[in-house]
Amino acid sequence: MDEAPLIRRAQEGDERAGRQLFDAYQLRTYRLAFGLLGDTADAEEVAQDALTYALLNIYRYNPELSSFSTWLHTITVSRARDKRRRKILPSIPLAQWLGLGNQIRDYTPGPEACYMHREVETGLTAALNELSPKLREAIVLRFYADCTYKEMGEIMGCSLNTARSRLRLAIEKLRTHLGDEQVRWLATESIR
Amino acid sequence: MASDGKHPLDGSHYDDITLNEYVLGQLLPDQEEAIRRHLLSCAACRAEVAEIEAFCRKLQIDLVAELERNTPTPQLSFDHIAAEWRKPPRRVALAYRLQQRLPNVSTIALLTVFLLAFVFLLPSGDLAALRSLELIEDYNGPPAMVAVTTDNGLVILHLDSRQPEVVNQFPHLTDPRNLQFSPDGQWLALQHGRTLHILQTTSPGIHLRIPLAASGDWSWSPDSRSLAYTDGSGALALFDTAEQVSRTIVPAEEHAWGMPVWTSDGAHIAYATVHPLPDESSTRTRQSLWRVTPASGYRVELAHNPNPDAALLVPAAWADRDSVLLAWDASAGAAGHAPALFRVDTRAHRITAVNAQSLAQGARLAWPVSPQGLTLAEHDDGLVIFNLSDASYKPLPEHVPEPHALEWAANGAWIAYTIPGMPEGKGLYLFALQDAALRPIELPGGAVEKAVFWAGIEHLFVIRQPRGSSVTELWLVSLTSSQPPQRILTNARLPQTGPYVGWRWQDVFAMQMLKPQR
Repeated sequence: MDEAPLIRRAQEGDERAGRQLFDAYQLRTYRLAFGLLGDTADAEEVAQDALTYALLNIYRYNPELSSFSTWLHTITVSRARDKRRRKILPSIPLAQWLGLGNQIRDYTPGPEACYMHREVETGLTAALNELSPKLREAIVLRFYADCTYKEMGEIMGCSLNTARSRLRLAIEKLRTHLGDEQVRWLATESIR
Repeated sequence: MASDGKHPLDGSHYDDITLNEYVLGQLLPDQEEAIRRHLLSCAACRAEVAEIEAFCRKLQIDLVAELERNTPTPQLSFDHIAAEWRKPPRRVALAYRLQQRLPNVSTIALLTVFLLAFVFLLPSGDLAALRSLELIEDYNGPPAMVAVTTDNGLVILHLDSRQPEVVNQFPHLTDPRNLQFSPDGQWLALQHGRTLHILQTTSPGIHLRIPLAASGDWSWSPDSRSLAYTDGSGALALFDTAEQVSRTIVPAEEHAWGMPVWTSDGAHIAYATVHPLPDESSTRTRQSLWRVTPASGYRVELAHNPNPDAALLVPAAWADRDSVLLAWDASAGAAGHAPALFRVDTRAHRITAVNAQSLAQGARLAWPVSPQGLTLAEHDDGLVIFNLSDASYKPLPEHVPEPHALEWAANGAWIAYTIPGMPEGKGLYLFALQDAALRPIELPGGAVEKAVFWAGIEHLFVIRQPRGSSVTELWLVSLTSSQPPQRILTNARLPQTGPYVGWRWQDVFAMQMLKPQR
């Protein structure tokens, strides 16, 4: 589908074009968010947030700078990072901190960390959950969104070389994590 | 497996990293070809490559299958967007709404009413600037000078333990750039159009104008006596505040460019040279970092850029008793990429690339260098503290998120920082270097935290953007008392930004702490 006319119409304020773009990208955006966060409710919230921002600000999109999907992926990755931060970061009022001084350790595991350790998982999901958010982004952008290294750099906000090294590091960590299980995992039939 | 990376020794094998790069298509064509040839005769490497390939293939298939098994609930819907979509664009909202409500009144009549209101009701520019700032009446922070850009011009304020005093205002300076106070707060330098303005902050004060050939950059000497500036012509000059004259210390033929950086004792200045100047051509043939001694004009080349077309190196900060210089690639920031960092050993005249990146904020690093020569940087897999003195890295815990803007405390033990994307009032944090602990500082809701600056050792100045607004506010936060955060002023401009270039706060705010009067 040539989406350029659709994007142009949406930029001119055509609601039907906006709805068509939503329909075309909602699944991909949701799944990308799920790949980044590993939680269905969070993924849905992030996808809605990213699509809302992208479509209401579509006049800012410049087709000469990137493809629409790269632009939307950039927004989705940014929103997923925001979501992760909100769940992980501590929230203690300053007064409480001042009252208790240095004894407070603020980085107690947040809900996401608890979720990650809640169940004993096996195989790929468990291995992905062990990756840092940035390495996970590299894996999902490369192997799900099929991005080039240049696109990965644009989306993750880093240089092309950093995008490459993140992907390589992620593969190495996944292989190390899977360890002996890797052989078994490789031997299993793929799901589809 | 013994090897030397991409070139295995005789009889040895390629290492895992190189083989991973090979499978992932990350090597240059000639390196790829060399490995392909090696694989023909090496069963061990062939087996390793086959394993990595199988792993990646399986990873892709399983990941796609896993994600495609999931579908969102009907909650994910365009209906949430449609209501907003149908609202008229904000830029025409007022006229549009009036037209909707008063369909019989012509547009000309409405315009006439607006025009009359504009002529008779609007206050003059000077008063409008001050009224719109809504200055606080009972400031409880340390003494400081603050310059702020509003829609009605530039305003210079003196803050101390009473009502803030407006010491000067410049209604015609509506779009200033690169505001910098001298360390004693007596002078302010800024660019407006193609002119460098040097303002004395007292009223009535001296106001000098120096024409620039193109965009210039500057910094004050630690003793506030001199402003070093590049004027876009290739010259580096010094403005003397006592004599109020400028003298050239590097002639235009030497192509000085960008921000000059003083050593802590004010004895030397680091600067960049670019042949030809960036305004003249996008291709660079030669680029270097230099040090000049202002007293004698003696200059020495610290290091030359080995790849001038790929990076434009400019100095950022001195460290380790001025024996080490941090430089960064200013062209990356302008292009929207995270800039690479470089360490220059000024005694050995050796430049090395730091295996980490920073964040740009216009023509500055958004993550500055601490007085102890430490800087935050992004390594492959997270944040690190890079020590300029010994070129060592210290990784930060994974939970520490990437800051939007940060500033080091004068003692180097704390970093105040804002985190993007946080809910209103929850974006300000203090990071303690000693125990790697991140501590939140909660502010009232209604605005998001954009940038932070230390105001002495016990207070922070925080720039916040109110919800749904295109202006910014300045807040004072006390770290050692139970005094609630104070909003000092509002309706300051929102600076320009780029995708990864960062907010140019130096175009909107300048703050300079003053010594308390005894």
